[in-house]
Amino acid sequence: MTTREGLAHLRPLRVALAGGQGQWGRQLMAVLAIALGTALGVAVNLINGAAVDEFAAAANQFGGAADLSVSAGRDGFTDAVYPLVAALPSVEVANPVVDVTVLMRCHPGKAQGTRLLGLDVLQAGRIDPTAQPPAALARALLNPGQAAISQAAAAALACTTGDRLTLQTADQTQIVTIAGLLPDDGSGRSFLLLDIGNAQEMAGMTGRLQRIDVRLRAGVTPGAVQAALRTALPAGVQVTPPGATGTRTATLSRAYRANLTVLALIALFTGGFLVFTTQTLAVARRHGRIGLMRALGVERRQVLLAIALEGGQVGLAGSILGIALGTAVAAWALARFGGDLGAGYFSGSRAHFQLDPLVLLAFLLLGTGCALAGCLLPAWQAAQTDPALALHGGRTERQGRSVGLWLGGVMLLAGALLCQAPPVLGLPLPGYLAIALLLVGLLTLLPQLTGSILRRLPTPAGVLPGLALAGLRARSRDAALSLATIVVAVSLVAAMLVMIGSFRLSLAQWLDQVLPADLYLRGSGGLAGQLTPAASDRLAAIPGVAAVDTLRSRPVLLRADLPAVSLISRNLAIAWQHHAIAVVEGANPAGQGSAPTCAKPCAWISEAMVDLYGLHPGSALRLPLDGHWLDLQVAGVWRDYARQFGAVVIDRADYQRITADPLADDASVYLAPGVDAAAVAAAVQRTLGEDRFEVAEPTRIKTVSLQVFDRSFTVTYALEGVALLIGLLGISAGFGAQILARRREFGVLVHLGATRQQIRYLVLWEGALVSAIGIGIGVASGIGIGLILIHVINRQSFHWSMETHLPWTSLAALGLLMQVAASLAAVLSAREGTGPEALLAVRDDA
Amino acid sequence: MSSSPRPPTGPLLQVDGLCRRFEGPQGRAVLADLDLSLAAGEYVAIMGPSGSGKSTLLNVLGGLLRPDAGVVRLEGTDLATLPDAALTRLRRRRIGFVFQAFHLLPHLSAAHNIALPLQLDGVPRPQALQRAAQLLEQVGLGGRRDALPGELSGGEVQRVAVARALAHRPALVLADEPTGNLDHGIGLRVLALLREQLGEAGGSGLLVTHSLEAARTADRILMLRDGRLWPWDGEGG
Ligand SMILES: Nc1ncnc2c1ncn2[C@@H]1O[C@H](COP(=O)(O)OP(=O)(O)OP(=O)(O)O)[C@@H](O)[C@H]1O
Ligand SMILES: [Mg+2]
Repeated sequence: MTTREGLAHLRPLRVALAGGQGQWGRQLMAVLAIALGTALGVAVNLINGAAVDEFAAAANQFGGAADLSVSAGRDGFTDAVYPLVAALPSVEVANPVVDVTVLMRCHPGKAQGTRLLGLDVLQAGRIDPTAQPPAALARALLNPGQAAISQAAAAALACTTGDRLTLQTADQTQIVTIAGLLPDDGSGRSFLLLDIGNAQEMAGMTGRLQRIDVRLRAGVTPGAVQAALRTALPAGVQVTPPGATGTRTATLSRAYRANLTVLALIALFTGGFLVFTTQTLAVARRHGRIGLMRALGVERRQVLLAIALEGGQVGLAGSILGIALGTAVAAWALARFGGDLGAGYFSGSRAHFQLDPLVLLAFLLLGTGCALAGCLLPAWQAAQTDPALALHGGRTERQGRSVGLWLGGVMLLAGALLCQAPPVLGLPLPGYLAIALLLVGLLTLLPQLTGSILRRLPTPAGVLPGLALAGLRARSRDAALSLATIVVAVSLVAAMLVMIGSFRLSLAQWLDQVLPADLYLRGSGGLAGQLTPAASDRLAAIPGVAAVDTLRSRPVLLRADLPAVSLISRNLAIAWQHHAIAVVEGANPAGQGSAPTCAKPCAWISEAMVDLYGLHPGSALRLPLDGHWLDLQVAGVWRDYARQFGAVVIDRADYQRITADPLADDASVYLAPGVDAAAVAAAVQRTLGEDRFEVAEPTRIKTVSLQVFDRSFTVTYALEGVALLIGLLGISAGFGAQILARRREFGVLVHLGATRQQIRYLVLWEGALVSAIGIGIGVASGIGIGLILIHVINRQSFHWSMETHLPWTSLAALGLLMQVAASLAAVLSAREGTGPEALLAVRDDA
Repeated sequence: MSSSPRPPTGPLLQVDGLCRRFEGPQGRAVLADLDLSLAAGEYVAIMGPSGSGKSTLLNVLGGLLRPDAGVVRLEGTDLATLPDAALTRLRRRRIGFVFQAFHLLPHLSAAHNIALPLQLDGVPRPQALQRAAQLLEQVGLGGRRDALPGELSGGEVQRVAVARALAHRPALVLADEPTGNLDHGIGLRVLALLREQLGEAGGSGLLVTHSLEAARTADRILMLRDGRLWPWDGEGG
């Protein structure tokens, strides 16, 4: 038989198998479940895509058209590099760039931190035509003290041509004249443009550059030039394709985005399970009909195909609906929250929404595939139907009870083993696979598990609970099916609760530990927000200030494919005295008088440095800084929830001895006993200038940090809500299907004088029992998965550890909520089985 | 027309002018102006062609279907005047059912199946099970108390069903082809048992059957034809 004939023959079979009371409603639920899962995936993906595109675009502006870019992070490098690069024969154009943020003010009033861009205004257009100012303006910019301003910056600062603009850095104040406004390029970027030499002077960056954009001669491969330059350049200066910055910044949020995507996929996966439940029950219900069709000469594979096609239809309808829904949600969320969904990774960037047909196609396939996968087993079971047995009302006993046990056990074991595996491609993919295996393994064991729990429950005294339990014991396999979806949903949510609860508590404890000072000072306004030694002295001299721990933070690029590591130098004596560093491994001098002795200057690295660079206490560490190599020895490891790509802490004295850099970015201020912190804070702002520094009390920082934390998890609550909804749909579909099959049983009860109320109570009891078991199993496995999230997924994604904390209150609330909702869902879906007409179902046919 | 003399206490069941039709394309009246009177302790067989409305009649008498017209009085109470809950309570306390397909709950033991109607009426479990044990003894299944229906033969299952119908000492037992699924000889033995147990309890019975031999175990035989009951004229079945 050809495929075409096979499909044509399917039609009468499908008509014969179609319909059945309530079937429509359950198919609709399955469609809805797939739609919800797909919608989440599509939405998360579109939002992420939009955010990353926007971010890469922002990172690449002015450099995007270059072939290579020479850079060394925020603090730049010496411009002695420039002739080296420009003189290379394979280089056609080399454009030096100053790119800093300084405090600007046009009129008396609040100053604003604004981007200052220095370019060679005569040849900027040779690499990127959009960066080229109009000729007359470019000529004007060559004069000292002249600047051009972008439309957005002009609006923000209320400046116009001819105005004088004050530029403020850490230790100098300069004045430039606005020579003209740059034409609007539609990007909305806010910046001040100076010629490169002027920019170096005005920004206090004499002799330094942030970047050199390079265009190569035709036919030259960037790789060769990269290799040639790498040996010639000072330590820490990198040569990368211009996209690398964008990639690095995208890497910042990559783990977060991967987490969201996986959450969405788990929701989709839950939807697949709902299809499995409904199809299995639908096959069981149509057992007799399938047997009849087989007896009439329908082949096994036709049955298989017919049932699989039903699942395919559900999947297709669901994913189309889901794609529409997800697109709408993404458009709305982008407009409402921005591309990072409130997590704070992309602040300031405006994401634009773009439909990627490939993504949509992928989700169409994923949604349909999930539904198809969900109905493979039931379709196979349907195909196994023994016609003779089925016609006599018997069920073909599914073999494979022990196979199920075996398979489930192996999957659990494999999952446990995978938890030990290292990340792949920098993502905790084995961990995610472990979670999937644990879930599927658990679901494979679910019939046995449910059966043995039901057998162990004591028989309750009341007639209805007793009847409910007896019925469930007899149908534990079907009961396990209704449970599958809710087990997955509850596990997922319980796992998230455990992870978020542990994370939040650990973060709160960490904040308490690392913020022991009375006031914190943080620079704002770019270069202006740096503390000079003079400013530090003035700070220390303010009445009431007992001690000041100034802190310098420098980005250091160790690997071109990873965001920069923060090199933090601070007064370690003060920090140790106040236990301000959360050491988790190695030397911990906190509270002790003496620091450990190291062969080189001692460094304490954050946990991310262990994961990303393979460092340990005792390791030697070389950091490139301002063209020198900083040789350090790792003394200990500390926990850092602020910088997921690594930080190194060294003593301020060691840092200054090597770099002679006198500046600082932050300060922790300790007050004398009994001094009013608010009064000192006001004095600090008066002394140092309100525009340049923010002063905050630690309680405020803690509150804000926890708020940011909570906000970044808001979107996961939406995902969890959808998963729970799908779980409820599963209970509802499972019960609806069973109740229909049990109408005769209810009919008998009515004949025996059971009131409709009593029958509803019976169903309520069954629903409550089944969901209690499902919720119990779900919470237990959720705690297990939560531990994987904490110790594997989070550790590998964000490279920080956390204390395990089981949030019993939230778990209990989740259980209670689902208990009530699932019991109600069971009763509601049982309505069609217990309605008035069902009560006469004691027909003697069938 | 039934013509049994009215006892001074009034008949157990009195049906006058009962009509019942089903909606649908044919929409014909299944029961049309049907009268029936059943004295306490009386045991009557009803025969009639397939589709003549026998099951419909039993459903109406059992309060599961409401008549379109006519009066059904059980022990003097007009069923039409009872709200749903009261009708259910009446069914639970005064009526017992035996079905062709037995309809024991497969996941409950024989004893629990029998105890169920009592428990539904609020009888505590120990008492209900005690009564079930007694009934099992009476129907000759004293040793099979904990057997599940699947472990019993067809005849044994129907004996349990008879015991269940009698558990709450109903005034009226409605049996719809109780022997339809049983071997001829076994069917007759179950019927004899039903008769005997009913007699001991002083209950009345309505037995619907296709078998004349089965019908002959009753006090009298009625034919349902054209929506009414006629005394059996001794021909056919
Ligand atoms: N729920 C219903 N809806 C519509 N018509 C019905 C319904 N129940 C019964 N009927 C019709 O009413 C008529 C009587 O049905 P009933 O089941 O009472 O017959 P019966 O005498 O018990 O037949 P049998 O001996 O075959 O059991 C039949 O024609 C049947 O089709
Ligand atoms: Mg009938």
